[in-house]
Amino acid sequence: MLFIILQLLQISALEDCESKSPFTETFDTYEFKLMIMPYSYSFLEPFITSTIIYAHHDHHHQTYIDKLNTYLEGMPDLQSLTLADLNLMAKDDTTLQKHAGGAYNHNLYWYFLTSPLCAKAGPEGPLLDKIVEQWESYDNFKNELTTKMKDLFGSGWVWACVNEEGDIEMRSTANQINPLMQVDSSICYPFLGNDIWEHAYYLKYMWDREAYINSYFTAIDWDQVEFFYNEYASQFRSIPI
Amino acid sequence: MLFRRFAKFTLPKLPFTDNSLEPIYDKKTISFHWGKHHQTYVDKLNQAVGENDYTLLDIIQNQSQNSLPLRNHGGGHYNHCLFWLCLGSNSSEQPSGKLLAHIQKQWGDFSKFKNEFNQAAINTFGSGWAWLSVNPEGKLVISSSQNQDNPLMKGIFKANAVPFFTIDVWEHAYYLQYQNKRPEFVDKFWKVVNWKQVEDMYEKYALQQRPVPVDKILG
Repeated sequence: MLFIILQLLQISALEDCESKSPFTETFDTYEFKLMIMPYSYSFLEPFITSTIIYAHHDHHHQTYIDKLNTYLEGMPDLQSLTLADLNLMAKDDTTLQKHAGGAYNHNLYWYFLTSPLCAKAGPEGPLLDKIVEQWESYDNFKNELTTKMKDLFGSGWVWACVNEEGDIEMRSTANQINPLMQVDSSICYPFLGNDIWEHAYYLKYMWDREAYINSYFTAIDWDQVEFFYNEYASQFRSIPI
Repeated sequence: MLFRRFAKFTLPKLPFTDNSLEPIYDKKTISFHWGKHHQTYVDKLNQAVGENDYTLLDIIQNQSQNSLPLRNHGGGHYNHCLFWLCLGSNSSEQPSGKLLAHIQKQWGDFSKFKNEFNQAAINTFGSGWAWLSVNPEGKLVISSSQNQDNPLMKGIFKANAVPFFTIDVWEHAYYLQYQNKRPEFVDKFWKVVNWKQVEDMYEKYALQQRPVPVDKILG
């Protein structure tokens, strides 16, 4: 009887996995709209709660969109650029770094993630091959990324990205800067990242950032991330999101 | 027996009970902010200092520009000590005496000063602090900083000044109660300021261009 119940629970979880909306390329320009979440607000539990998503998406992410639009209203030369392009242009523009960065980074974040019930344990295919080539194993890669996430001081993001030589690098960036912006660094095309701002985890994990990071690795949508690597990052392209 | 002297920093007791700032600043936030975040800065500061005999003021003013761990964790310890000293129940909502007179002289009235300070706090992007300090010319200056940087830090802060009033705008300072509503937290903060303590630090230290020895005051 217990076996049957467990089977039924597994089946319903798998059905839910289909509920994440697939990524489609976006070439929107000003005026930007807040993206619709690709899944329900409880989909990422127990990694991230619906209360966190409500604050993070409906408020923080919304505010980046609003402030970006307000800025672009007075910058006609930037109004025909996509969000990815605005990020590529942000090297010397601190307002774009904040708000185009915030908008873009969070667009990516929601797609990097999936339900822990649906997530694969790790990457496969060409991404795994490249990780093994550089780190010998996914575990080594994961450990190094974990350390960078733990060590980031203040607010920021940690990224896995492809540099100009075609190698995977891990980059920590402050605030809403990302490696497309080339602020004090060469370009690196992100395909995976984690939000280390306290707002991303405080309501559930509070000071225990390490627990948030450990849980993050159970909620990565590796199919999506492999796609981002194969189609964009490894081709030296920014993700059109 | 070899006697080793080394600086050992400890988490000071709060100068108020952890529930006395409710409902503006609740017990849960205060106890985690102090017992977890501030404690971690103290622990990591001790690790970074090792057996060196630095004082906290030396770390903040001089060592911070040479060492990122001392800058981050020394700053974290100092800044949180100053923050606790600025807080208390029974707030009079604005200072009196010399400090009020000085604010009015420079800003015309207290509310203009308050607005400017609030803007500094609200507009600090990411993690940081807003400060009120006295500069070497004897003027009051409002400033803000990123992460755990502090106006005393030579080589880091362009124009050094002696801070005596501050608000923590790292998200951990307000997120449990206010979430993204930082402006609301900043607005309500004025109701829980211990002006007597702030005026004391202004008169005894900042006006004399002496850094406030926050860890010694908290004991």
